[in-house]
Amino acid sequence: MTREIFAILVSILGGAFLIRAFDVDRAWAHWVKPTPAGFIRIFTMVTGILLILVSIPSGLSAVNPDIITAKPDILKVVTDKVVVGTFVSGMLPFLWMGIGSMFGGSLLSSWFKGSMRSITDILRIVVLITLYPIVFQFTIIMTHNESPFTLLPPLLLGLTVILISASVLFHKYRRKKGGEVLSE
Amino acid sequence: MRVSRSVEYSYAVFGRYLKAIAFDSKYSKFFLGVPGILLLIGGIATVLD
Repeated sequence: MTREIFAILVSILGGAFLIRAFDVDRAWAHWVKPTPAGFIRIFTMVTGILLILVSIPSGLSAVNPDIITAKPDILKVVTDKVVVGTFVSGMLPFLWMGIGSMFGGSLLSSWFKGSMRSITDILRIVVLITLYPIVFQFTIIMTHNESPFTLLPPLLLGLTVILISASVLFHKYRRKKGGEVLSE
Repeated sequence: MRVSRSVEYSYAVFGRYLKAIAFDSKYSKFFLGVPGILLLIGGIATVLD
């Protein structure tokens, strides 16, 4: 019992150190400001976290229990590519929806504020969308033993879409800012 | 009561460094981040052991 209490206390101290180290408290105070943009951010962040959490049981339920033996060895299960592939493919839709919800909230919030950050937010969503087929194809390669070269078309397509959208968005940004170059 | 200027100066410098470690993100990332991660890992490892 003493050991568990010690572990909890040490973990709380570690968590507090990490919160201060990475300015989580200041960021949180900035995020939860009672403005329309702040409310949108809070709502989409909570939704996103819930969806990301839901993705874990969704991935677990996608794994066929027949492929796991009665006494599963955790190392064997984690290194089995079929198990990992089905787990990832099961959790992928919810995970992407969760991350997309967070990015969407950030976009809406910066759009409400009229901030130029909305361009970066749009690009972030485009990257997320283009990554989906790549990760999905990767899970197919893992589960169905397909050729790794099948990863090339979604990769190239994603790269093309990102390049086109980035150049269009940054061109728009430059026009709005009167020739100013975006540093990031 | 004896007052030592050098001791007071040392306290002031020490306080300034502590403040920088806690509130300056440039230093806090390392000086609080690394011990924080180690403590968290230690706590989890104690439970799992």
